[in-house]
Amino acid sequence: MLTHDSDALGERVRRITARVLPRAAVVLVTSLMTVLSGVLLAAASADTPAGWQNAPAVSGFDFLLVLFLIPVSLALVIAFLAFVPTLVGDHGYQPGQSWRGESEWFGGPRRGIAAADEVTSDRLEAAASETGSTSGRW
Amino acid sequence: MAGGEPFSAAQRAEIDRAIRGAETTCRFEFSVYVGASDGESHPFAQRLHAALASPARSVLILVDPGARLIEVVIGSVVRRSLSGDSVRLAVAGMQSAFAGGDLVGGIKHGVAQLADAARAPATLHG
Repeated sequence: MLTHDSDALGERVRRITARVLPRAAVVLVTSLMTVLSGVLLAAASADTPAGWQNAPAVSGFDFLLVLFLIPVSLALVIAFLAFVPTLVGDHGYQPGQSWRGESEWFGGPRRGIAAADEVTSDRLEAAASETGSTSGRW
Repeated sequence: MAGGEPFSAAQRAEIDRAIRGAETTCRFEFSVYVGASDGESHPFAQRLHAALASPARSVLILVDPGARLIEVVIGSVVRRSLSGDSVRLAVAGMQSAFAGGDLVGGIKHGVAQLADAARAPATLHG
């Protein structure tokens, strides 16, 4: 009987502790935050120390100029400078364009098309007799 | 645009990279000519192929965007590894890409497809 009572009491204490402890922690943290923010706000709104020079007056235009107009202008200039190469850069052959006439040979001889002009008929016949070829149109 | 290089540096690099990749894949030489054919396209492609350093081990792809035609010439050694059906399939893929206006993509795809087809099959026994 006594054991049963003590178990029930222990269980009750545990439940109360589990309920109260988180609340106490929340109250403690909230109080600390309030006190800290009050201290910080007080520091922020403090007067200029006596030893310092008085801050010069800032007009509304100056405020806008420094905090809004100059940053926005800089951002626009940077964006423009970043965009310029895409406007003037060479994009190469684009779909739908007519071919520009110049030919390109990738992986060809160093002398380019001139090497093909110098191929002798014997060499051409020898090579052509054993090659395979496929063609297509689009 | 007229009179300048037909491909941008980036496009040229893409095609070069595709050729290097293909050569690494199948150990044959790949060459891509893009431009107008000098006369009939087939003999012209044969002549370009014969002018390569090692024609027997080379694949030449000629793309004439003006005349809208493709020629693929395969050297005698490459022919042993590359079937006619594989070449026709690669040509069909290129035709499809070129018809959609994707010249660089079609070349890259065609070169890669030919290289994959020409790659010697892995031996399953030692």
